[in-house]
Amino acid sequence: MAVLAVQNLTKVYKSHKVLDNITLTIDSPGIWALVGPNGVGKTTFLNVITNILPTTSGTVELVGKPNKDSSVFKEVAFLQDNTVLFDYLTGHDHLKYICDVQKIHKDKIKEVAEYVGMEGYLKKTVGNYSLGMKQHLLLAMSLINEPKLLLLDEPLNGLDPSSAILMRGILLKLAENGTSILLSSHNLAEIDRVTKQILFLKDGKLTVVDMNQFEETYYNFVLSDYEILKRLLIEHGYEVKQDSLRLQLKLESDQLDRVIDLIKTEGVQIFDIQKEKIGSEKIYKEIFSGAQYEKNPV
Amino acid sequence: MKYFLFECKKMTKKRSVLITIILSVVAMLGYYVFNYSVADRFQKWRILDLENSQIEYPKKIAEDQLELEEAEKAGDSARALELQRTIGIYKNMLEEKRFDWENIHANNWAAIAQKQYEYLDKTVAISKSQNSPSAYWLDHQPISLFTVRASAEEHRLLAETGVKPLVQANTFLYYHPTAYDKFTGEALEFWEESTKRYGMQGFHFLYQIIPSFVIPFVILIGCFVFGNNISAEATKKRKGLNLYAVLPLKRHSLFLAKFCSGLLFTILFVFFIFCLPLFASLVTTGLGSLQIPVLMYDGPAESLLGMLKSTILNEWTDEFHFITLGKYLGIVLVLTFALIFLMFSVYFLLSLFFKNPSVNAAILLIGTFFGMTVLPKSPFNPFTYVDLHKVINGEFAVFHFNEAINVTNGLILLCTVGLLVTVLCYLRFRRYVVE
Repeated sequence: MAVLAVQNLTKVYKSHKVLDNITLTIDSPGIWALVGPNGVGKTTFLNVITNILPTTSGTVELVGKPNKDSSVFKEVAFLQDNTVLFDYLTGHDHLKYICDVQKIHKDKIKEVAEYVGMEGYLKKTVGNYSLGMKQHLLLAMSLINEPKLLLLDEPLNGLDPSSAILMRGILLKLAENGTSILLSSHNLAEIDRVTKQILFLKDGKLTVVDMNQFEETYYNFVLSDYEILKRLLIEHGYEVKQDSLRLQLKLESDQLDRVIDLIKTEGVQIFDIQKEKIGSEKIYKEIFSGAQYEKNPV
Repeated sequence: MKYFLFECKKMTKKRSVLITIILSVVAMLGYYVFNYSVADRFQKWRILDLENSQIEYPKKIAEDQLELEEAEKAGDSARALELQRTIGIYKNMLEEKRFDWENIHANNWAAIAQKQYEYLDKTVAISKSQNSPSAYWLDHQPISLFTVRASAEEHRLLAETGVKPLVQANTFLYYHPTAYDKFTGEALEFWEESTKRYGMQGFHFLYQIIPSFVIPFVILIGCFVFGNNISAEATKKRKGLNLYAVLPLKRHSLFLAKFCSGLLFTILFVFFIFCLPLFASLVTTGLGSLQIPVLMYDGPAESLLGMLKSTILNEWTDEFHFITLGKYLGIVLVLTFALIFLMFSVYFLLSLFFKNPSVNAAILLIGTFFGMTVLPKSPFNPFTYVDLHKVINGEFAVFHFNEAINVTNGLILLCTVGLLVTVLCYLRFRRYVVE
């Protein structure tokens, strides 16, 4: 049984085809990132999946049942943007209501609040929350029923670095424990850290890309002398870029040792080396600037 | 039930609800206090007038008495006759004023009502014997005999029960205004000012304001505050409805929770606002008697042959009766429940189409006004029943010659239409999407 099965899904909004005959199946735990520029239809796609918006044509099944069956949300959760929160209620009120609807024991509120790190402001009204605090509450509301499928719409919005690290850790742990996660995000660096499975949405079409095929590793060297070394590395066939502060080389991991030896033999001092993996960002630029790439439309 | 309680909790935590309640409380208490002060002024004027008369009239009589003696000494018989008549009039007036003054001080309202009843009853008898509509005319326009008859009966009942009546601006014209009076121009203005009644006590104040459409107006405010619990959660900035959409929650449960919580709070709000004068009266003059008689129109009498009732009103023979204020308020209470249900369901339906509460309130207000004024008064027109007072006292039934315009039919129609509109609300809600 697929956790998420989308068949020939089309959504037309004001005569514009936002989603065009999309088919997608997720049948194993893991994290999938839905990527696309603003207004491309990422939120619409998630809203249609969860039946918040009706489909124009096609079918959507969640955990083996049609998405029109509200009982699917016993096993599915959707983290939406913070406009769904009620400013005049407390975080506790929100979580208690979800416990009531999901028939979950109230003890779970404290547990999940501690898990996402919001126990300190659980009893404060949401109107007084910061953007990050609201995001924590939304996450807690999504996790409280331990879903099999977790959909997240821009979950990293408004999070400070420590919260982003926490969110990333939670998502990775959930995936490890068997949850299928589909998240939309603009934060490509964060996406690179949590998943290699990217769904690009463009012109209503979904393209799935396994980033393992496209991931490139770059090493940034801070050196005592750049000019001699740059010439030497180019002569040895390395791809070199240089700016005033660093020398950037695209390397496979087994080539690093050889490059360091080469630098040492030339008597140049290494002050610092930084590793940088470039994946989704590069593909993103290529896809959305119209450049050619090898794609797998789904 | 838990969903319903959650919706109730949301209502209680909204700041806009608190502000509206505070403003409504201030407005209603202000209205009561203002009305109380006007009534109190009239009452004090009456007492002052009675007290002054006890000083001024004997003085005037004594002066006239001296003048009379001088006129008799001088042999001025014409002047003496005139003075004797004046002294007689003043003595009568003094006696009447003393009677009122003493009984008001003794709180003996029955005696005052009895005296007024006797006067009015005599007026009716004279009118009938002389075949003239009334013994009292305003600006060449007679007071309807129906009004005199009804006023006499009212005072007879007041004399029987001995309850303190409502304060009336003009204590000389102690008539009960009725729909049979057809005054125009200055006479109408004078009549309305003179016969206007003010309730100082809690229940009497409610009786005074019910005919002024205060109830539908308060219901409208209630709908405005509590009837937007779907539309307010489906705007671009607030999409609370989308939260419910991703929970294992049946749509009809959510609809019922939202509709019933809004309806309950509207009912509580309306009754709370109308309880305020009762609470306030506890620190002023008390709740008042529920034995005050309330006029009910019965229309043309049935012919002796048992044939159909006439379709011509006749102030000489048309029938009426009185019920107690307690019974009247009980009927108002029941009809108000039904009216709240109808108005709330209509407002709720509007709110599912238009997200701006002010637009919905304006449409409901204009629609109600149109329905009341332009549409014919019919038992099948739900807006007929917005004027609770005229439905309960039978004025609509009598003046439109349609006995079907009554409380029972009103209850059935308001509840049926309310139920149909609620079903429409649900159908609309099922297809409701937050874009």
